[in-house]
Amino acid sequence: MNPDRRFEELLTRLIDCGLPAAERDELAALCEGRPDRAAEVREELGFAEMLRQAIEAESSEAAFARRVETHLNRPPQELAPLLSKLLDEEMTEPDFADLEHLCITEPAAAHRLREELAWNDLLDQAASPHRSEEAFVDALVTRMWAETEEDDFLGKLESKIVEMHPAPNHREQAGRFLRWMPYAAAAAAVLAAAATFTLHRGADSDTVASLKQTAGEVRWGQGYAPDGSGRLRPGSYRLESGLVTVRFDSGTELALEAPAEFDVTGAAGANVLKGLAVARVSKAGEAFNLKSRGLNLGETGDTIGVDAREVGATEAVVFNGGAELRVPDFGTKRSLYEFEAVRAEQGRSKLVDIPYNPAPFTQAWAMVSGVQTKTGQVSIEMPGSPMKPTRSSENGRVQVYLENESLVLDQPLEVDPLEPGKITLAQQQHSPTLPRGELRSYLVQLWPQGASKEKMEASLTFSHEVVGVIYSSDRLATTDSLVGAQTGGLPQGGSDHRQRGLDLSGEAGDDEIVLSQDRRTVNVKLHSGGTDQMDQVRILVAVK
Amino acid sequence: MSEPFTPEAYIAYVREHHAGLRAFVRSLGVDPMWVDDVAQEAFVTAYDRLEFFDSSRDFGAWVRGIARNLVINERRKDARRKRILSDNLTDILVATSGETGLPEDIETAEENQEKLIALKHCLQEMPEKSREIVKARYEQGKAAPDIALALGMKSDAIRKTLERLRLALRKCMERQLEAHATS
Repeated sequence: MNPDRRFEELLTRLIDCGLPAAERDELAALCEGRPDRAAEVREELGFAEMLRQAIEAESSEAAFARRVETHLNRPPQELAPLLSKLLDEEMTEPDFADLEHLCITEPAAAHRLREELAWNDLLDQAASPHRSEEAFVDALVTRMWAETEEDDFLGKLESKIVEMHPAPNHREQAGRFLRWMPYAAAAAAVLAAAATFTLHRGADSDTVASLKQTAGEVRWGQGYAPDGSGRLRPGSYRLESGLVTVRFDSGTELALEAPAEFDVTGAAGANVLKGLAVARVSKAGEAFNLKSRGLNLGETGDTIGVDAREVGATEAVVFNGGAELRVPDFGTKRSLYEFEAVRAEQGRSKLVDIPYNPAPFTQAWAMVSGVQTKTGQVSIEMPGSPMKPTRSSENGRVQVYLENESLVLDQPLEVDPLEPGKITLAQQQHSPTLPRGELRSYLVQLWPQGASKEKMEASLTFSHEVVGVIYSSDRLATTDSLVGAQTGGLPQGGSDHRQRGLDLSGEAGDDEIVLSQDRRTVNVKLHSGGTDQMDQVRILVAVK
Repeated sequence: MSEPFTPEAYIAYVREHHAGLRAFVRSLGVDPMWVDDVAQEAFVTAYDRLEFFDSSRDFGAWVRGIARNLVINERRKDARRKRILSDNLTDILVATSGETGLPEDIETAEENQEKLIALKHCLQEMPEKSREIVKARYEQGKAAPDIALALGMKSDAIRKTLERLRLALRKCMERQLEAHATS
């Protein structure tokens, strides 16, 4: 087609109905080196915008005139019945028109309406626990945490709220959790033995799940506890203190933080009635049906959190994958994706979007993160957290990020040398190659904020076998995108990326990494610090 | 308020002013479901703009002014995202609420807190059946027909009862406040 005709055709369509991206590019190409055509496009677009504004103003003025006319012709209304309807949320469009008319013609009516609405909100605040002062401040903190960078401020804010509101206390629980770690490890071993015993004697045919892991001082409500072997039948359970992970026979794991009440509805279903829970749903097993009070989280995939601590409201958070939410009483449906959260209020049909705030789930998440035990000052970071240095007040700890739940290698991957049971030295030249398969990737990091140098030791035992580690700086950088690492917080440019890995020359004061003979435990000694310097190790475990 | 805002001071101010701010937001015709959302947004915005706050002024009035502007902005949003019940009604309520968001009838933070405490007391004192209806409406957010169904009553009777209960609660609250003032 003649370029001039084509230009005119594209311009006409742009003004009339818009152009798809490819044709916009074509139009731009036709304007290249042709200022006359570019000027014509500018002029036509300017004129079209003026026309749109003129039409809009006219229709708005006409609508306003119609509204005034309607008001003037309307018979007089009484405020009281309209007010009752408004307060009972039963207004219709004509009712709103009547109320507007009344407020325009009688200024006292507008004053009374504002007063009644304000008073009614105070009544709502007084009558509804979900609108209490604590709930409001708590939600505000969540929002500020999500919307501002003022972590330090919010840390203090949270501490203050915790002081004023001594009920479930995350910080104190975190401390208690760490203090109880050695006991938790012992309890886990006992439970593992119990589970083994159960398997040997033949699983009770009535039971559908077992306790996999515990932390803290676990106490169950009388008559609402698993049996002595740690197996659970369908029924109601009440966790009064501590943290537990329940592994369902379908493969799904559900971590619960006390105080919690839940129903086991089968080998692939649970209903969280109270408390905090994180479900990691097995992809291999039967689809899991998770409910919490009036909210049905569908046959969820992947990892999802449920916060049912507040009376009358449940919050759902997706950490990984997605979920199809339903409120069966009202027929409400909603798809929820990674790092999204909603709130469902009892007796209400709407699911309200809320900011993604994983902080309350920290302990429950650690239970299903795949890190079975940890010693030393170690924190398991929440999903979606970018790699960043610890804050000055939190220096002196090793951070662990679960980078990728399911890393499918479609080609072999070269990793760094690491022989079980031996201290690894940089001189070891042979780099093993991992075959294709499904892996899970963790990043272990020591990155203190500020210029102070730190030395830390940590031991991590994983629920799956470690098949490879990456501790050389270049290899860490080249595999970041493969595992989907959240590298936004890393220093950009310069030589900083070359300082991410471990220094394994074997001299005193260097880093050290040792893998246990059973390939489940990794011990690291890390020396890090100074401006923008960090130690990082990527650990790959075999999921299958 | 001559001291600059520390985090603790900010919490204290949020706690002191939240009740009145939420009531004020509702009085501008904001959908009840979104009242707290708008109020929170006002507090977040206020925090972001603390450097512009004249500490010799009343914090409550300042945050109400921010909330008022947020409500005005709702008019410009597309219908699905609006947090107000009706554009025209909000226009009228905003226009009659004063330039600064501090009309003559806005109570102090302390007065709002006192009202809230009095209301909670009155709710405790209510007969069980009446409290059940108020809880169904406010705590559970049920509509009159749903409450009627649950209690085996007619919807109109529930509406009338709610109207009567609101009036009774208001009178009770006023009695409480009066007694508190004279004691």
